[in-house]
Amino acid sequence: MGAEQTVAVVTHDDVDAFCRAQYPRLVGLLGLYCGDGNVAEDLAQEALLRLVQKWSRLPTTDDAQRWLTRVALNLAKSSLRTRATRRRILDHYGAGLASESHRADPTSAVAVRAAVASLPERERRVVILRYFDDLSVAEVAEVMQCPEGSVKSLSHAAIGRLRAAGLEVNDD
Amino acid sequence: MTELSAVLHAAAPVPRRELDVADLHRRARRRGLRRLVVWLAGLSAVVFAGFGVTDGFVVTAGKGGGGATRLPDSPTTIPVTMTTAAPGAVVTSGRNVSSGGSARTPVRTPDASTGNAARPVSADACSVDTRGMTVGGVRQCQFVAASPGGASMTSSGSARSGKATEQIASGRVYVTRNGQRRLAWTSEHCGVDVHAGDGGVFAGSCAERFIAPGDLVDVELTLKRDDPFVVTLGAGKDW
Repeated sequence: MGAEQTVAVVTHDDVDAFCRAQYPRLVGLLGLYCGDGNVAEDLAQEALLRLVQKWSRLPTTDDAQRWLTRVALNLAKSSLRTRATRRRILDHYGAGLASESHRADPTSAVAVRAAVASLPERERRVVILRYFDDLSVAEVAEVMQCPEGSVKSLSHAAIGRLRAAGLEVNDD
Repeated sequence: MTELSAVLHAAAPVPRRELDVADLHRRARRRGLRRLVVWLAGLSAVVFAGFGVTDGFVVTAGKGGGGATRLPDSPTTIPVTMTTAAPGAVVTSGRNVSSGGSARTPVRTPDASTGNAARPVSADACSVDTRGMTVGGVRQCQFVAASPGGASMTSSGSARSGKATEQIASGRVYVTRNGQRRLAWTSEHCGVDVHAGDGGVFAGSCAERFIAPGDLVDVELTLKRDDPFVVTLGAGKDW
């Protein structure tokens, strides 16, 4: 992934560059997770703000990136718990999925985000980390702090749901 | 069939504005400062609670009636017992800030049921004890007597500690009658009519029932030295 390559050359002393490199990745990841680009930007900034505060205690950029991903997804999960956000997103996608254009093109960006956002939380997390963040099964298991077998089964179930929603995808 | 990875990357939103890193640092600093302030406030509260400046009080219904009421600003549980003649009796509790006793925190007069300031109401008696007090601390209760009574101060074990109760704590009971507030009883002069020469209105002694119905009674207990035994000062009916 592009963002990851940028991160690899950033030194640990340069928190500003690290934040700039991580920001697009976080917005994409969080946008898929909660289905709303605006919410994703707010959450990404909040996660990066926490990273700035925590920076001196994260020894390497890899540690920082893992920590950031985990915090960002936890923030998104908490955010979705609030009723107002949930209602806004559901209303948005309720209207969006009903439209003919999305039925006609299930691979449109809005339809894909809606399909991912409708997955159960852990399945959604696995799909995003595995196929958007391009992490290996082992890395996803580390971020999610669960066994690799769970990652594989969650991933399999998630792809099944996405296919049922009309997305013609393979998991290569 | 398309790759899921490609589909997700195509569908993922991109930031509409650039990240303002300087603002990020500013917000982080502000938040850090806020946390520091909260932390310092918490530390101050703990320190002051340790010195007992913010002592609170507890009201019990007395004689088996109900439990304790802890007031919102009270970090510690201080035993003040009211024997009520009617529901809603009132107590107060205060504390000397300095051991010299010159500076004193305002005495609060809360409503027993709500913790809000209110006039004292009728009760048969009230008592306070030294549990949790620090040396120089003052604990008080106040009520309007519904029954005649006296005052006394007892210790849970002064005989065993080798010290007289009066050496551990001192007690004073003030009575306000017909708008006149007088010292009616002191532990130092227990058994002595401290107001014999003062018109004899409030002749107080250990054995006397110097409290009459309708009197406004203030009971004040001061801890003079640390002692493992609990000293209790009470006034009113059966004291």
